[in-house]
Amino acid sequence: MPTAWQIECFRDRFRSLELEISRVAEKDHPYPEPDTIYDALKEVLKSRLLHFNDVVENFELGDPESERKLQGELDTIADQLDYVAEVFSYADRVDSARIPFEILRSLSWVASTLLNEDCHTVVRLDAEYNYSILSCRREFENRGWEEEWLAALQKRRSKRKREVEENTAEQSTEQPVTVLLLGFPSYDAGSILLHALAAHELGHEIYYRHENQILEALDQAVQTVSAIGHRYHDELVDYAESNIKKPSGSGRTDDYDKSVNQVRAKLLEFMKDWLMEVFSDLVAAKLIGPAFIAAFDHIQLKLHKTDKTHPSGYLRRQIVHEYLKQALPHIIQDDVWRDLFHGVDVVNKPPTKDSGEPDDPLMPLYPVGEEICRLCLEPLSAILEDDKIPSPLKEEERIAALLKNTEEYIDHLAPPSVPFDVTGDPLSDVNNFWLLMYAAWHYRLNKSHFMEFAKRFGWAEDLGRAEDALGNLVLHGLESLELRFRWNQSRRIENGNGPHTTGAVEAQRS
Amino acid sequence: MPITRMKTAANPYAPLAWTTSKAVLALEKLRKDKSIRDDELGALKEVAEQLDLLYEASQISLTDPNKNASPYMEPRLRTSFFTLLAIREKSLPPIKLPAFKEAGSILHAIHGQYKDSNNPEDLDPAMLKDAQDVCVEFLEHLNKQHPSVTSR
Repeated sequence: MPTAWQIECFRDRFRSLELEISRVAEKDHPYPEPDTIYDALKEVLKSRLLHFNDVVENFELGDPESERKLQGELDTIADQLDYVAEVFSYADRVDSARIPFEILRSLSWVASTLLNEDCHTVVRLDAEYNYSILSCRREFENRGWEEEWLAALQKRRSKRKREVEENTAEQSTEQPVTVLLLGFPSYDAGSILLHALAAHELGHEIYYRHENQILEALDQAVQTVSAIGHRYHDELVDYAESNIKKPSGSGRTDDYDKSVNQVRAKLLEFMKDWLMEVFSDLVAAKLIGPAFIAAFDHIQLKLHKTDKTHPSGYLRRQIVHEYLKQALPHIIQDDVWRDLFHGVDVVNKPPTKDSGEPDDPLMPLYPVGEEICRLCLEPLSAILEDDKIPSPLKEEERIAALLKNTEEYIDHLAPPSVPFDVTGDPLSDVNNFWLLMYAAWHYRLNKSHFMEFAKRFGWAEDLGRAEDALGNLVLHGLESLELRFRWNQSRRIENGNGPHTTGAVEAQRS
Repeated sequence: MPITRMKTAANPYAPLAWTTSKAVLALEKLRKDKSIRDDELGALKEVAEQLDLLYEASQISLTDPNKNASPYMEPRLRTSFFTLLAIREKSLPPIKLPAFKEAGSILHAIHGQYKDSNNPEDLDPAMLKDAQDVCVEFLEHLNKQHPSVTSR
């Protein structure tokens, strides 16, 4: 039961967290976006402290009934403080000198157009070998902190408005509605080609547009594999029987029914995460073809690894391969990508006990989960087809010509942005980001051509340096495309035409 | 979610736990004839709705061949279905769950009466105690839910 000392420790925790967030917030940053996150976290702390003080005032120590309630309240507050510390840890270290800040404007541009949301990107170096994009607005909403997020945004807007009024030469702009926290492996801080994975990560946000439809498809697939006669039906029955740990006393049949119910619910639960990954992979494949798989291979070396949040790398590439065969056959037929799909034909082999954590109780359900993913490919593809985002890779001849032109630029160490048309149409222009990334990976995986490039400039013994050079060219190309787009937009505004929008964007907004 | 697994994960039950803890405090204040803030009154309504959904979720059977039972009929119901599942998994048999339906009705009544009168003295003390007991028990269940950091 709680003690006066424990309550004092809570007060200390509130104080230390508030001080640390303020200390980091007051440091000089290369950009202002993290301040919104720090302000929002301070708002969360403020409201939790108000609640804590009320709790201490209303529940007395020494009375067992009151102490039980107090314990429940303190446990909840302790969790909230842990979550504040966790989110703060995401937003700490966003100003490392090793961070490639130049990519951020391009990523913000792409994200804002795809997601119809004002997105500003900040990057942090991750000690783990991983790549992530976290929408702070969604993260705060998921934690029940939406009011605090909105309050922080409002505060930033007011501050910005005051600054603009003091400096009349500057145009007033709205603050971002969300801040995207890009987590990037510290070890690969300079790798630009790795940002092909942004296509997958932004796919997670697109997933939420279609979540209900996707879950309906999942529900249908679970019913299919559970039906009598399906090859996984017996496995599910065996699993349900072995899942009865302790008889409840209400009879074996009743226990079995409850167990089957629980097994299906477990399937639905972890498959939601798996399908989010599979759908995001399909979004990435639509935007950038197999190029994101090449970047994925830099991150995930154990392709057989399966857990309750992510299906195995083999299954994921098998599904991407199947999708591309249907949706973009001219892309998948290109020999350059062949190595990435080596082994996809052997993945029908169910996951073994080495595939997951040794004590993972869900392991027997993973083969069923893989079957469900395959069953869902068709409905997921249909959902994606209906989404308004066009694939930049649709036109076969145009892609072939673009690859040829970009190769010529890269061969001569020139940023390969000139071959791309900038029309002022947001969706079409933003597709240049993906096309350039696609072209860069195409160049990188063309073994003989890339080796020639490396030899020509003296990097044959160190292909990593050649890849860095390619990455730098891509970075300059992306910056140039983004600047050309903004130039085009501002020219239209100057001419009184307003920013160019497309029918697709209007449709999405409506 | 990152491209591969991560060690940390948000607790999906945390927002509900927070709202429930606000409701427990609000009921305590009302029992002491103190007035409550708007956000605390809102928490009473929200928890009442959640208890209704949990009752509805407890009626779902995924094995009933006569029903096309699906927790995906409505997103909030789906969330409640998995909340209930998580509570059951963390409880030792025989599992005795709080009386969601009755507690939901009582909380709706408390919310309605206080909203109309703004006077805690108008409320029935026995009703307040019953509602708070269920909320405390429910909060204890929710506080047991933490995502595993090892298997992600």
